[in-house]
Amino acid sequence: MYSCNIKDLCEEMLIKKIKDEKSFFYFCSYVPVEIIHASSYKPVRFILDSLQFLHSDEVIPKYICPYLKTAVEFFIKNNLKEKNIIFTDGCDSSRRIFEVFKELNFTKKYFYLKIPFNDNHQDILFFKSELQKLFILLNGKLDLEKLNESINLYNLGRKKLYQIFNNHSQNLKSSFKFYLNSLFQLMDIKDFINLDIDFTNQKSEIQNKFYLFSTVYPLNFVEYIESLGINIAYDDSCFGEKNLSLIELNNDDPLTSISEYYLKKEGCVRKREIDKKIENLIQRYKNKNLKGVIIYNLKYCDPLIFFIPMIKEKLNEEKIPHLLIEDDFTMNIKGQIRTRIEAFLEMIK
Amino acid sequence: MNFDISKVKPVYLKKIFSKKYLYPLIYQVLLQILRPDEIGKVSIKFSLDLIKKNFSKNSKVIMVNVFTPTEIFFALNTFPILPEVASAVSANFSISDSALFESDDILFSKDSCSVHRNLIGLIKMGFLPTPNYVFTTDKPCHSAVHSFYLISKFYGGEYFIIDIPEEETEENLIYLSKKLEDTFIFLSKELKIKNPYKNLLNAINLSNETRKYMIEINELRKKKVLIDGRKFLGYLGMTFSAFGSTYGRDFFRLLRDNLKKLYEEGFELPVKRKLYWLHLGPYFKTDFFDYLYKKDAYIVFEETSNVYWEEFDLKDPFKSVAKKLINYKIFSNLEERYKTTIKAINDYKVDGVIIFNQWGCRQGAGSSYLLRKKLIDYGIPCIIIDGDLVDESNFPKEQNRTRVEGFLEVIE
Repeated sequence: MYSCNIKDLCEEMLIKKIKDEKSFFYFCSYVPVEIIHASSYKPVRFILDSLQFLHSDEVIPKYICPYLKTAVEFFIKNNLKEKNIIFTDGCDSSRRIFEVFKELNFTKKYFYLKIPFNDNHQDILFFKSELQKLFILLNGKLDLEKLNESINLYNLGRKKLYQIFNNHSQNLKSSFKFYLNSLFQLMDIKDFINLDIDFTNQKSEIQNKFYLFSTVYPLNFVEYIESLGINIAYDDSCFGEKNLSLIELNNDDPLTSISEYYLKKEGCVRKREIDKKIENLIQRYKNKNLKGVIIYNLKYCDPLIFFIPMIKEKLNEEKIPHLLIEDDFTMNIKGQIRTRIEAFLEMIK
Repeated sequence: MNFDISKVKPVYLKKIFSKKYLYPLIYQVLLQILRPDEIGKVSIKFSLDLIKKNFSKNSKVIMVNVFTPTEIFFALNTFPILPEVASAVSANFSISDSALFESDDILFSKDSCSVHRNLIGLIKMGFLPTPNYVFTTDKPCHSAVHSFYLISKFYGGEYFIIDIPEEETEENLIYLSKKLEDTFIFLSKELKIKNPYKNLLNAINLSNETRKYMIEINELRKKKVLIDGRKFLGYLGMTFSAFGSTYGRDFFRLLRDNLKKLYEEGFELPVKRKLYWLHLGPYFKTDFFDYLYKKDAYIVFEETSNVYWEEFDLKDPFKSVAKKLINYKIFSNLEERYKTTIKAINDYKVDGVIIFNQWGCRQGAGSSYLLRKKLIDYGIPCIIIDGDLVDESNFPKEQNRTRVEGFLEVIE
């Protein structure tokens, strides 16, 4: 049974994966981990904590996504080179970071995945052909049987996590849930499925339960707001709980199954589907009897910046209390965050 | 005579714009005020007709981003508005300050591209009409994908995104050309256009003609420095909005004629330093460029003037347009921008490169530091000017002037 500090395990896992030649890293939730796994590589999401931008300012401007900039900083700081990475055109920063990584020799084997904004039949077929190219690059051939196995494994992993989150959602610490989700994205999937988790001391005493809306946030953000009396009951971010829906597998055509899943699932804020998104948010908010919505606005994140006006308008219409926190992934404004959260908690008392 | 449009309230402008009979009068007044040459007259006529068409009652307003092919909209007897271009024009008329201020109410953040913040302010204030349809490609950047969606949700207009694949393969060409054709068919039905395909061929022909004139202009510019490239930065309205129309063809034909005449007369600007300019430039009134002229430094070619696409095939127009979109070279990726710049350096005998970084433009500025490094490694002096296309308060004039001063000394 797993009993050590889950945060330490996450950190150790990332270090271990960085050293592993078979690791294939990614930054975007549109990357199909199943294809990486079916190609005998180990999919690893690049999960990072806050860093100060000491070196990256020399290679990229200030106003690029701070999460991706932190990844550049991490690579320079740790003198990392030649890693296997899948990039996407999820956002403009992501498109440019791909070039930065290539130019600075941070990459060995890499793929640039084009994600259509639309999700009609022709877009699903287009994305399928992109996935096919990826599979052939990584595996040399299309091994559909292996892909079916990988899809089933990841479905099991998602199911396990979903059950934990939902069975214990009323009392698990949000930081524990966050690190558990991170482990799912870092560990070998079979190890994660077999992981025996000890829930002792992971129950939260905090009664104030909130909805977190964001794209990406640093590891220490959830811990910090938890220390201020905020328990996140639902994480609606790029890699949050919405990714735990299962792939409906057609054994004869797993690539179409994956393509459809990734394009049609409740995706990140780049998808221009505000009505559906808000509907889901409000439903969860009501079902979970939450106190309000915390919006972590990652500075320079365009999909989020342009989404926030619409979400704020709807939340106001529904009279749902919400707090907008803006940070550049460095958490340098902890004092400001504390003051705002304290005032917010006071307001909703 | 100074004509300060920023002092005119949008509601009055709208009233004036809705009265069609006033247009000949406005045109004549503008000719008297601005005293434009023949090229300028085409540009004024184009702007007025665009306004007339889009502000009149019962007109269908279509908004598109800078990469959406305007040919297919001119073929449908519509006059597409490019809000990004309108944003730049508004800066020239000193309206952008108030438009940016107004957009703050909606966006809550100044961290996104000011061109797109500004255009939201322009619609809010009423300087742009409410659209019926909004089309955007996902290139060159995603800002239009996001800001246009906001427009459609807050102000109206059916919203469409056209995804552009990364590589030119037969499969990708079919995928994109089908999307373009579907858009064309959808709109022709919505707008009840008869013989849309016949109109399309006309628009494609006009576009090909315009392209041919642009190529001739570029060839003339290779021989001698006949015109200051800053003017081309100002021609963005025609470069992005007028392809597929008679305005675009006439504008570039007259410009070609003008430059040809200057060349034949043996004219050349007193240039000592030849510069290549990447991205667009500040559109508000600034004396930044005057400083370059004082040092006899001129922009001899600019990224936006590159004609990188092949002539459209009249037998397969959608596929041709798809090919152009997939192979775009301006505001492109690091590799393409580097190649295009090196070609321009050699073709136009460039002494130095200026990369203009628009604040908040992740697409344009993201890999600019690396592009500068690559160009310096190649042996060409290169400087990055951090500024803003429409927000004057975000353009550190003195700082940039000092930096350019140092740069010009290097390339002396």
